[in-house]
Amino acid sequence: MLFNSLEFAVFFPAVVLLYLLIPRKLRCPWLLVASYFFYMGWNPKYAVLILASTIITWLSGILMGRVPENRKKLVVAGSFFLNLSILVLFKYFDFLLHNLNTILQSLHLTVVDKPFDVLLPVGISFYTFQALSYTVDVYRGEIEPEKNLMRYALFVSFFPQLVAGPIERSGNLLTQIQELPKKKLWNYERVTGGLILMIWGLFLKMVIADRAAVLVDQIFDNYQIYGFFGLSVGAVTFALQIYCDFASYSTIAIGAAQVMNFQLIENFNTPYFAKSIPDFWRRWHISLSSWFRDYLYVPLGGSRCSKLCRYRNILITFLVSGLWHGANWTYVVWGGIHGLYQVIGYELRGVKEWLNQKFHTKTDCISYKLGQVCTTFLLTDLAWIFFRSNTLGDAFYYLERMFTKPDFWCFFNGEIYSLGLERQEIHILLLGLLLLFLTDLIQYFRKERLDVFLAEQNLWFRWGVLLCLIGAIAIFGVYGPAYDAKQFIYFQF
Amino acid sequence: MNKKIIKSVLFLLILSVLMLRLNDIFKLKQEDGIYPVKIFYEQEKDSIDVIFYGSSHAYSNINPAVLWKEEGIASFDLAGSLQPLWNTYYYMKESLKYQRPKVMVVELVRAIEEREYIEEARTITNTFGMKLSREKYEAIQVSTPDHLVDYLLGFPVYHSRYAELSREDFEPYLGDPNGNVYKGFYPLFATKEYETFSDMSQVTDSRALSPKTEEYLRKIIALSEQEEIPLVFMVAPYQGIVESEQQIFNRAKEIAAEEDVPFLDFNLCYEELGLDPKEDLAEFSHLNHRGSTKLSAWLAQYLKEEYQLPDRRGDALYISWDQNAAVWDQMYQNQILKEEAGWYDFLELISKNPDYTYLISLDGTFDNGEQPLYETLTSIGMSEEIAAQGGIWIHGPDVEETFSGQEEVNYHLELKKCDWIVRKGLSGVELIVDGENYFKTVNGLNILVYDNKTESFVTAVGFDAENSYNYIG
Repeated sequence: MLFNSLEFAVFFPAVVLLYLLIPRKLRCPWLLVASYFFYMGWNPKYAVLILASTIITWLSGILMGRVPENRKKLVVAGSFFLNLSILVLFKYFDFLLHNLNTILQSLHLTVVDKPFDVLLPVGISFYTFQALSYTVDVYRGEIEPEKNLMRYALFVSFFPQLVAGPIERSGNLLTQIQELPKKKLWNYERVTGGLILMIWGLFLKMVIADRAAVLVDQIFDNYQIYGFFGLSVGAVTFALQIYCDFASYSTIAIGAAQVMNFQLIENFNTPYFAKSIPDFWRRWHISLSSWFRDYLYVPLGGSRCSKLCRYRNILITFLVSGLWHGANWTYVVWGGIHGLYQVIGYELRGVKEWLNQKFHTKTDCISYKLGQVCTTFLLTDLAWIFFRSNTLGDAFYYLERMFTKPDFWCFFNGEIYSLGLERQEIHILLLGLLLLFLTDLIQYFRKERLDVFLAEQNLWFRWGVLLCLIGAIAIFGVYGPAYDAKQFIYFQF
Repeated sequence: MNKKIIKSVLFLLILSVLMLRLNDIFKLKQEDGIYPVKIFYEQEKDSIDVIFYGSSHAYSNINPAVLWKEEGIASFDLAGSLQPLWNTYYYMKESLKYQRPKVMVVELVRAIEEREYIEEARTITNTFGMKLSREKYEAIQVSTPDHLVDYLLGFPVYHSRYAELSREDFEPYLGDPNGNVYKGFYPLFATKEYETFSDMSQVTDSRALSPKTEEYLRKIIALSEQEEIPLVFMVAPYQGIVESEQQIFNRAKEIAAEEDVPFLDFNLCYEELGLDPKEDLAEFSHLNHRGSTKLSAWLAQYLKEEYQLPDRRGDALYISWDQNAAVWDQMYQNQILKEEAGWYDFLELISKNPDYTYLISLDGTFDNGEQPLYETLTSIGMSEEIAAQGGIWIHGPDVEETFSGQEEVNYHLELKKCDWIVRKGLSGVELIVDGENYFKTVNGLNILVYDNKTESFVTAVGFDAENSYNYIG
């Protein structure tokens, strides 16, 4: 069930209404039933996998509370092994087999036939990571093992963030679930704030992301016919599309949870205003970045080791992060590029400072900071080309054409209107992006989310903005039989 | 708390008004399929004696105004383009909730439909006009089961019309200015000449209808039996008919015969209608305004004789049919005017029609002295000064303006569905209608005509004095 579907428009109010009305004791079972119903909307069979992951990690938590200290590691290893096995089987099996066969072919050996077809379950990477973080948190003693299976099952399957995050931590979400019977549910400001976030998320998804997708698909599917202009527009638009798409899901998830009095962690914080690559990763998909930081980078040794060791840790973390995003070398390379950016960034720090001194560059002025923001965007955008391309070959050819086929006249001759979107659609997209830019500016400078900012404004302004947003979604949203609704990009990860 | 509840309710109220207004603006208002159904609902309950169902072969070939004028029959075309029989069936079911016709006539050209589902655009056309009802639900389900909810709501389908919104979409009454006067007919005024009609008299064998089409053909028959309303099947004549289609009509005729339903196949008897392939066809598939008049007159007589239909003329309840006939006459007059290429007759036609607002601009050496222009112009009401020295005369039910030949002009005339701007200066004359300049000739007569009855711009013509007042369309 997609957030931008009529089914969800019926499902969510029904769930919330009953949630508000039923006895306190039934809140947890009700949300659990609703979450499984939500998840099974894609494919009822998926429920078996999430249930398996839930039981494995729950049992591991219980076991860790009972076994001696020296056996705990074994339990963690068992939990990781089983969960990652499921993940590998359902997400990476085809990829591994394909690579194995490529090697076998190059050695002139017989290839292995595909023994069975597996369908990638929606959101498997998200809930697996969430469940694994619980195992580690219990192991580290940061949280007591949850004895109640129902409460724990709700932690793993909580429907607002189940299929595309934010990846929650047990310290945050599980604690809130444990306090569920005591929660005061109705709070006008909180509920309306949550609804505002949901509306904003739908705007990002339906008006911007899905409209941008038309242009991006056109360019990436036919990149061989474009030069510098078209390919640059494609790359920049994809950067904005994936941001709007992914941030929209998180925003709706956070809003939906807030309506039910759950506070989920922030997942995006104006990522394209980042002034460096490390800064970008503190702002982009924060729940995943912090997961990798806490459960991979730090255990590997983090930055408290030699320079070489630190660089190794960075590269491993980003390569694994790339692989987490998808079973394709394009994602691995994308992750690798981000790792390399950081390593090179550290290495060139001295050179940068020397140059700044040599040329008496002011570093505390707006132009310098703007330059940093633009450079960071440029670097992340180049990496996005690998993320969006179907194969590594496509990505390299895309880049090659981009830098060897200059067609600067296209900036002036209206070429933008022939890239898959009509003139009017381009204008709607630009207006949508302008609105996104303004809200990001507010968030960047005032450190306020849209719901908080609007709550501080006069009623007429708040209502005006909301009515305009709802009207814009209704009219300019990409939905209905005329379109094939695009799934949220991050579902497949 | 109370304040917050009031605020929430108020917001939802404003939001509802906004969404309803957006729905009004965006909903489809096309004359094909949707609009006739909307107007059908506005007809006086149980007032219609004959309903014609089917595709464009019904709504462009059968003119209720002619049936009214000929025999006083109160009829209505309830049809949509390329309408498959399953949609026709639900149109019939829906219509019987509001009317109790004495005869139902179904035009069957779409018996040739072989697809299980037709294209989305036609499904929209053939379902969106219906009110929310069980019939609409079932009609959508049988037409496009995957989009049931979207079609029932409507807005998800037509919200993307923002690129094609027009003036009409924002007007308070959405559709015909004459309201329930409209009876579903959509005339085709084009003419395409053909040497002959296709001869189908040798095609005597038959071919099966597609299972779905036959299922609904039989359902239509069952509906008529259940409702005890006589049913007539017909196939309107069309030039582009091919053998395989005639075979299907033959099969439909066999089914009709099994059930004792009359079947009028006009492809086999077009001579009886007096149709002329050189004059009466709009194109290969439809009759034009002349052809449809002939077919409608024949049907009027047939239905009158076979079903003893009452003559409703003079009955106060049926005044809208009188008005419809008057609107049709006016449309016919407009067409005659559009086809008129002689300056004298053109002036005669516009001057005798009290519903016209027209502009006559006499430009350059407009009078070549060869013809009685001055006399004619003054006889229709133009001032002697203008008729002699040139200038502009605007005349209509609510307007009377003259501008002499030497005068600089910058004049705006706001008509109901049209804006005229007249500019005259050193750079010449501009006669602008809705942004387009219709100035046709430097030396001669330039004429604009607007019809207040149908609220439409009729034509802009020029008569060139340098070339014996040749017509410039």
